[in-house]
Amino acid sequence: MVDPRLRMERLNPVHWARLLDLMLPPPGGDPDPSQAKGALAALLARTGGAHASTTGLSPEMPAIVLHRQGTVLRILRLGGGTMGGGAISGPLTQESLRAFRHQHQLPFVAAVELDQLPRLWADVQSAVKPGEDFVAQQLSMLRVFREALGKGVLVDPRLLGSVPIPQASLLQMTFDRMLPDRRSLVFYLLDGGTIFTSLIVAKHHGDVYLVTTHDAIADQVSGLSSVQNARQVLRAVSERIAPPHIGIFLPLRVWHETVAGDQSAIARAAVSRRAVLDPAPAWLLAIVGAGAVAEVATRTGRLAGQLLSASKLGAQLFGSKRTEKLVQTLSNPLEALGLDPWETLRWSRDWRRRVELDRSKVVSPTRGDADGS
Amino acid sequence: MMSPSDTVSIGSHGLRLGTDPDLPLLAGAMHYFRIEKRHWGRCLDAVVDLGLPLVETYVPWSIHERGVGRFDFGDGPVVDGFERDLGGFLDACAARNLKVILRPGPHINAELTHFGYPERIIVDPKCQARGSQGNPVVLPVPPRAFPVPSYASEAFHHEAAVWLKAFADFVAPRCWPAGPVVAVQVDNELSLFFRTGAYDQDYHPDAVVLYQAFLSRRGTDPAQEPPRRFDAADAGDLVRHLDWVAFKEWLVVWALDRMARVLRMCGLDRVVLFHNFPAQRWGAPCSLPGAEQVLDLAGLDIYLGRRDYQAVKAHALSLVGSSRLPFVPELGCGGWPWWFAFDRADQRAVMLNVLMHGVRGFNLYMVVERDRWYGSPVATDGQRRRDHFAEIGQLVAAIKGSTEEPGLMELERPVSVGLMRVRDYERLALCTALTDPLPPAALDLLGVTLADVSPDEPPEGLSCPVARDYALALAEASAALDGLQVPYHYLDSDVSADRLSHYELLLVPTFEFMDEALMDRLRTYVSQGGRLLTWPETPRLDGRLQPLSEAMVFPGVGTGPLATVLPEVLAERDLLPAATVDPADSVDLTVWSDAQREAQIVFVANRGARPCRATIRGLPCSLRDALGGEPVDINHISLDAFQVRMLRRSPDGGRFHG
Repeated sequence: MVDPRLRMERLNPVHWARLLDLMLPPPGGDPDPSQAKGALAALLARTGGAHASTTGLSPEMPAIVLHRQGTVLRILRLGGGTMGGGAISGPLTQESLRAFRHQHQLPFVAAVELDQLPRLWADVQSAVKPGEDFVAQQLSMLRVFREALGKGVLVDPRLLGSVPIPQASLLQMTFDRMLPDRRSLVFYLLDGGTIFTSLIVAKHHGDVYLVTTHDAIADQVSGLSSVQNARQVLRAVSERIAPPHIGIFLPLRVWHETVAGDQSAIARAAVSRRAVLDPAPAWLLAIVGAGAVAEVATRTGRLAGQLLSASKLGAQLFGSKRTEKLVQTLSNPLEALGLDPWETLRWSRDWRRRVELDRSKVVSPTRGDADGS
Repeated sequence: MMSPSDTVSIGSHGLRLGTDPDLPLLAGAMHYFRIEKRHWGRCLDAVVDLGLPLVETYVPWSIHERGVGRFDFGDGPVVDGFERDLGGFLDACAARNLKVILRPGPHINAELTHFGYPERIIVDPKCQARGSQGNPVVLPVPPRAFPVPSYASEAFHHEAAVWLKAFADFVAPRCWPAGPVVAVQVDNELSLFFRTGAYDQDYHPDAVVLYQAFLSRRGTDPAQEPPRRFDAADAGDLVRHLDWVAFKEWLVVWALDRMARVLRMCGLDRVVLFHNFPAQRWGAPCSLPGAEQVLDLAGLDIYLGRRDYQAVKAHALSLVGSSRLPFVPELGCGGWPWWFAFDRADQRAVMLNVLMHGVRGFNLYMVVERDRWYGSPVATDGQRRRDHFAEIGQLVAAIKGSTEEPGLMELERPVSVGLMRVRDYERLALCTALTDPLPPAALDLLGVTLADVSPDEPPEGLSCPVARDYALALAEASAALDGLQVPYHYLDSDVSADRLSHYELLLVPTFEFMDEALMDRLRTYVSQGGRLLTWPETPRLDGRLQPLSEAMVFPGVGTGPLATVLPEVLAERDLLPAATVDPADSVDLTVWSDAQREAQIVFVANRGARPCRATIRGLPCSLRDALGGEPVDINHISLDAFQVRMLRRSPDGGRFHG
């Protein structure tokens, strides 16, 4: 999935920073989905509801609890400082950890059993095969870490525990279905007639080999004032990089609405020509399409996908040819992984926001550190 | 036979080429191997136009090796997109009178797959570092996680030597004065790949052998196996753990020395050899003075943002206090895609911050953009990013000065106070860190400090939690000095007695044990007239945790609370600053003066997250912004959050003394 010779070039620092922060709410907070107006909005609201925003996360930093056999020794705050071990009453359990998190309104907390940490650390590293694909390597490490959940490691909320970790081969098949070889993905967000951020990804031999931005075609297409001019971009990408298989051109506000949980935002924007999805494979249309039809299809596909992802036996039982066939027939390739795309988006957003470090808090003095800060 | 006239050495203001005036150690990074050859000229012209006299580049082993023992420095075809014509690149530099810094590794990182090692090296079990459980030590970096090599491994050093010899054979004829190469870096960020937890690594069999030889030299039973977790049961056991951490520091220096010898033996004995450690606030595996025992120079790489003001300041003060020439071999200019996104304001603030606090040289990494890097002022085809390019050029010009105005490197900032970081206590902190084996570098990035991970209970063999109290003592001292606006440097406890004598006052945190060699140096310092302030305890044990003999008179002067004693001592020695700035709790001031002790450049920095207005007192003069040129009212200096401003004395202003 990641070419070892991966090129990442022509990355504009401002736009790249924005891309990295796309899961974070905009300065004024997430758009209020109830602001959607009109008959179409009412129709869509009946057929595909918006999820409540979870931007009400605590401004406090995540915490790490260090303990030995349930006796809390130290509670570290990412960003600096500690909380006394007595902040958790009684022996450490999943319940007491959750209660601690709620009491102190922490976005995330992990508890690590120090006597098991060296073994866990070693096991995570031993799971890595040097020649293997990067994503496969990360999945291997994640699997080891997830097996430790409930034993050497407790986390709350249990974001990781509820997400299936697919086999790399299944992930590859899904990826190949979503973005075939020798094709590209083009993603632009516009704001006020200018490019807010962009991403162009090209794939071949199963791997992403190029990650770049609009700067790569700037000599042919300088800027993009409207999504209606998307074709110029697509033509330039096709000539210079690889024919696009996916083209997503959105206003920034529509992106924020989508990330906030409004499953209909993109569809509404496309209908009203504020957004362009071109080209748009069927699965993409299925994901962004609102309504019951999409809901039924995804539910069916998700069940099959969960069977595939739940264990190593899953893929073996189905056999690689059958698996491949199943993946090909699913309306939404992500279902093969047992993932609902909207749940995945919400999960990604929640994780991103929970572990966001406010670096000004890193600087602020707490107990004091060796720099005198 | 070498003569001074054809060697490069370290001067007080830069690199000394023979007997010429010092060449300012101001460099910009460009990777020839990633830039199409047809663009080299344009890119190098841009480096020249930025005012940088030096260009720096890695020379990757993995790219130049065509097969085992076979290297291509430009003869072979370009089949994989990488240029290899190192000679052609050096010629292009020489044609522009650019001097060159080369960094051949063997470790180079540079966001290359496998960090520049040939794949056959990293998959060879004989070369791989080992964790405490016998596992490979894996760096989970894109685009491929890989097991890192052991710098104790004989197999690894043999392979590395073949590469370094080939490199040196090619480069030696191109060294100054015959060519443009003036400095070569030995390896890269040799900090055990940021994995400096006491018991994280390295348990390679060759490391164990070296460890046992190390113990033997210390007069300790060499048959001991290295500890794999902290489990000291008594004082003697605690010494065993401290020895393990000390051994790893020694291992880093030994490895650097070994590789440096290869380079020197193969003709690179006329240029400066140096190394770069990654800057981290705690848990660093080696001292700058330690590395400078075997190399000409050691520096710190800094990749931080403006919000990391305090950390950047501390790193700069450590460099100034502990190295021969405070140099930042990699000063972030742009960044790699899977790192924090720093912008131009961050770059500017960090550059001014390090200069403000005494750094004398830097390499802007990267000045010319390349694959897996963004945010440089020059694009891969040599195009200049107008505003960014102008800004960097302006900064460099301000640093270098002109015929009418002295450059920053010609000025001095008198600093009479040293605050010592005691290696023994830092080793203890590393051993006892609750978070071991998690890397201190990663924890440091997440804002977790030494005090945060030090136990509250004393380890067996000691009667107080030295590691925790040491971290608090350092913080207390630096806060007190900052509050009084007294300039100081951080001194590594490995620095020589001669280096200590440069300071009128030394602040040394002391606890119940202290290395005798350090005590000797402090004794010498006091006998030469230095004022030594120690707190909070008087050592009663030596570095082996044995009772001090009665003959060992500790030279320190016991003291009451530092906050009370320090102002008195500073006043007594006339070390309180003449020039100060308000508000003192959030703004820093440094004053740089010429040989006549007339202040020429002033830096003012907002340490905090809120904009403020600063007032400078004790400097009756007029100032202007060194970059923009606009006049500045010293009673109302506007500062954005974390902003650092560089101000110059106005030509028409009064004179003032720093």
